[in-house]
Amino acid sequence: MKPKWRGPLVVIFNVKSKGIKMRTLFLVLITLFNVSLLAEECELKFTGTPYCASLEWTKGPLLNDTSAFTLTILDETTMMPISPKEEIDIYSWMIMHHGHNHGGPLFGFTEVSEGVFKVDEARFFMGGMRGHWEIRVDLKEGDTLISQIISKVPLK
Amino acid sequence: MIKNLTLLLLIFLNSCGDSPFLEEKQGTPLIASEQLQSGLSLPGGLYNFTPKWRSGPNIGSESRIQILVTNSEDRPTSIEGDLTLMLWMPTMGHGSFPVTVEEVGVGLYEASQVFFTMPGYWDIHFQVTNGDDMQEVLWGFTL
Repeated sequence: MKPKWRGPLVVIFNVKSKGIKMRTLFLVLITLFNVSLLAEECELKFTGTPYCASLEWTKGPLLNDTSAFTLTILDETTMMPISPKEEIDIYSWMIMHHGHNHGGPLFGFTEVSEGVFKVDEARFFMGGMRGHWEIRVDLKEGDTLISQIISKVPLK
Repeated sequence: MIKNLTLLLLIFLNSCGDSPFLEEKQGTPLIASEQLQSGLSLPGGLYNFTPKWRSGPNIGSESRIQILVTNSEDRPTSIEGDLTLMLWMPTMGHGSFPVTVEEVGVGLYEASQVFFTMPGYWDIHFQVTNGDDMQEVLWGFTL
């Protein structure tokens, strides 16, 4: 007679019966889950620095209208938001197919809490151009670029 | 007499520089100046536009333009139809973010969200659309 499926507890119970502690299994699963979440939060790496960042679109991104996003800079070790000691610059950049790359309309940004930057009025357009837009974040000391992250704007 | 006139005409034509608007369609009044000495007139003279920079012109950040619209009798008048401003960079073959135009008084319009994204030669197309009919005049300048 086929055994009836009684849900995950039975599976875990059976695993325990094979000598693996249930607590260990839970810990492994939770760790794997957290690692995958942290990887998403830390998708953009500032090379050569202890920082990474995540970018979340809160409006859009839209063509020919204003878009908004939140950029969070994290300490790679603690995964806590952090204000970099370097100056920060956030701007849009157009990569054109024929190579004449250039910036877009300037926008302001506000640090609303430690390491969390909000942009409310990013503007993207094509206007006959062939290419794609990027959001670029520079870490600078004076005029010296320390590190940069680039995130392609997923315009539809 | 005819020879002299022909000679004068040739000298006059040779003294003209290249127009940045040579490739634009015919019938479009051509003005290439950052600061206008006179207004821009639509073909037929239905409306005359006198633009004035309220902010800018800036590269990258927002510029704003105030536009006085007058009729053939030189009086401020509201446009029958829609006034649209379109930025275009003919040397690069692309435009910019859509300009917002708002009538703030009779014959007085404010254009905001004017973004020039790079230095170079730009045209601002002043377009009046009424039903299927569209007329335009250009304001060209180098930033």
